[in-house]
Order: sequence, then C-alpha cells, then structure tokens
Amino acid sequence: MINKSDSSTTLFIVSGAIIILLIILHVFKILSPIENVFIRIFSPIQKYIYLSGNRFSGSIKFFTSIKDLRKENKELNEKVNKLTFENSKLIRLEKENKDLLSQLGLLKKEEFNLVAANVIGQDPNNLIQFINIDKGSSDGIKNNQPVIIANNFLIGRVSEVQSHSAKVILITDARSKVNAQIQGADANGIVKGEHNLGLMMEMIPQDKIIQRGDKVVTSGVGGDMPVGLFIGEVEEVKTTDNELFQTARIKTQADFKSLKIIFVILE
Amino acid sequence: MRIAISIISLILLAFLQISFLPNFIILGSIPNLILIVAIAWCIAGNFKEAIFWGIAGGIILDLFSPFYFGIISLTNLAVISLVYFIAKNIINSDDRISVAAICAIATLLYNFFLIFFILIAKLVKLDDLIQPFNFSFLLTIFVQMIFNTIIISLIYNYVKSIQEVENYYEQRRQIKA
Repeated sequence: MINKSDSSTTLFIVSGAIIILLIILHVFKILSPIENVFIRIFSPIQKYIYLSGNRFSGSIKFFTSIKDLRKENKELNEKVNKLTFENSKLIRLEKENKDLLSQLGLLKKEEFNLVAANVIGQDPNNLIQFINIDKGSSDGIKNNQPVIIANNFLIGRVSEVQSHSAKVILITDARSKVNAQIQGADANGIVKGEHNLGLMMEMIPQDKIIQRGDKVVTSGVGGDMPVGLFIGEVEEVKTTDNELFQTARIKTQADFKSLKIIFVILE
Repeated sequence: MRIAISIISLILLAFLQISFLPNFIILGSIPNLILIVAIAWCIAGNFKEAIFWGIAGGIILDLFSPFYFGIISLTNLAVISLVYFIAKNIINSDDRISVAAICAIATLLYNFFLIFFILIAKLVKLDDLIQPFNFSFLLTIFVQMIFNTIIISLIYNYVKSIQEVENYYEQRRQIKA
C-alpha cells in the first residue's frame, strides 16, 4: 500500500525546519506584512463563504423547526402581552427618572462608542470559541474591548487585533469569565463559558434567592466591562447546603452560531 | 496543473473549515477537513502530498486561529508523521474499517498534540490559551472523531484513485527511462 518511505524522514525534518523558521520570523514580526496582506486579500472571500453558510444553515433550521413554531408562537404571544404591560410601566418610570435626573442636573451616560463589524469566520478547531471580524486596530479596536450584538447582548471580548481584522473570544468559551449580577436577586457572581454548550454563573452567595427567568447582566466589577450589558436569563439553579456558593445555568438569548454583525465597545 | 489544483483545493477547503462549517457546529464540534485530506493521502501512501496539505493548510488555519502562529502546522506535521508510521507498520491495510480506525486515532492524536504544543507555547511564554480538561471538551473530541471518520470514508476512495493514476504514470515514466 505504501510505496514511498525512503525520503519521508528527510521530508519530515525539512518540513519541521520550515515551520520553526516561520515561527521565528513571526516572533520577530518579519512575517506581519505578508500575513496582513493575505488576511486582507482573503477577507472578502471569507465573508462571502461565511454568509453563504449562515444563510444555508438558517434555511435548514427553518425547515427543521416548523413543527415547533406553533408552540413557540403561543409562548411568544404570551410574552408579548406581558412585555407590553411591563413596557408601558417602564416608559412611565423612564419619564419620571429623566425628569428627576434633569432636576438634579445629571445627564444619563449610557450610550457607547461602538464600531460595527462583520463576522468573517469562526472557530476552526474544537478548543476555543472565537470569531474573526473584519475590523481591526485601524478602526480603533484594542484588546479586551467588550463585544455586543443588538440590544446590548454581550457575546465576548476582543482577544487579538491586527490592522484590519481582530479575533473575539466568545463568552461561551471555557476560559471566558465575566463579572455578572442577577437583577432579580441583586446577587453578584462570575459567568463562565461551558465550551460552547452553555453558560454557568458561579460564586453566587447562598443567601440570595434566585429564580428561573431572572435577568443576568454585567456587574462592571473590575472595571473591564460596562455595567448592564445583557448576558442571559437564569435557566436552572444548583444549590447544596454544604457549599458556600450556589451556581446557576444561564440561558443566553444570543445565537452564537449565526452571528453576522457585531459591535465593539470602544470606550 | 496538478499543483495548481492542489493549491486551489487546499485554500477552498481551509476557508470552508474556517468560515462555512462553523455555521453547522454540532455539540461544540466541526470536522477538520484539512486533517482528513492529509490523513487520506497518508493512508494512500503519498507522504509528500500529506505533508503539503498538513503544513500549507495548517499555516492558513494558523493565520486565523487564536493560538500562537505555527501551533496547528506543527500539530499537523506530528500527526501526519505518526499516522504515516501507523499506516505503514501497524495497520497496513486500507479497507473501510482500517481507514476509519486510522482517522479516529489521528483525531485523538491531533487534539493531544494541539494541547501539548499549547502547553509548550505557555512554557516559553508565547501563549496562555490552556484548555480546561473537562467532560465537554472530551465530548467535542469524540464528536469530531465521528465527523472525521464519516468524511474520510466518503473521500478516501477518490484520493486513492488519484494516487493510483499517479503511480501508473510514474511507472510508465520509469519504464521509458
């Protein structure tokens, strides 16, 4: 079956030497211009392939989810009714709040300086949950800046920046840790990724009463993340009497598999 | 012409892996197309082509990977060399079961070497992306093993037939010489 073995050792050594040489050139940034040119040339192709895949998977999802649509529609209608009531209440409260703030001479400062970017690629291996985006340092993007989607849903943070592209580690990645707060219970904790399978909130004090459906937002503790970015809702609470803290499984509202446009918070 | 087709196929598969397949993640995993083709060439007996796919494909994946540059290429080189040794000395057959078994072993070796090189990169302070070794991580490796095994079963005969055509022309050249 195998007929070429004489030169395989030489080929192995030469290949290893080439890779090590490339790594050394990369360490001394000699390869950077070539890498940047390559990434810039292939970015549009990458974007096209990514969006095609996105549309294709969307179509498959649509056909496979038809049977669940009726049930989901009913649930959504109930939720809309509930939210409409809450919304009218919030509008009144917001107006009152604005009036009070203006009377105190304070201005609300919650609008972020955002940069919109297209997702052009995702995780090429199993180890890290990340996305590639088509904006980089030339657009003001820096390491560790939070990344959100519409309605202030937190999805991750910038982990590596090049001139015209950047890598974003998602909050579902096992290394991701975000200081968070459960709004209903006013309890702080840390939200960790569960390797693309979900989110867990840990270090929640035992004395806090948490309920399914409670909203989880960033707490801003540590100063690396703004306060109030939406992470998800409590799906399940795990508590035992002999432990200091309780944990909660968080259901995220963001669909990490079909991200198209994201926003990087610059300041 | 042959080289041009190889390069175009390689770039196409690499970008499919980076940009198309992530839309179809199942249980946190996607197939590793570059590794699959390299392993197929390895089993078919063309180590040179396998190394080309592993390293050139690895370099493209390295450019878009969050790991330190070179880690995926080195991983591919290590896996392909070991798989070539296994295919030559241990599982010296290319029936469906043998091909599937070699591919499953290659997937395990790939994830093992990937973690090994990440740890080395951490030791020399190049990278600190250490993967927590938990159940969900093992699950993704298992799922990837299934994906890779299915895909190699589909493409292996095609790769083997290309290799047989190449062997035929090589023999004719030698006879003429």
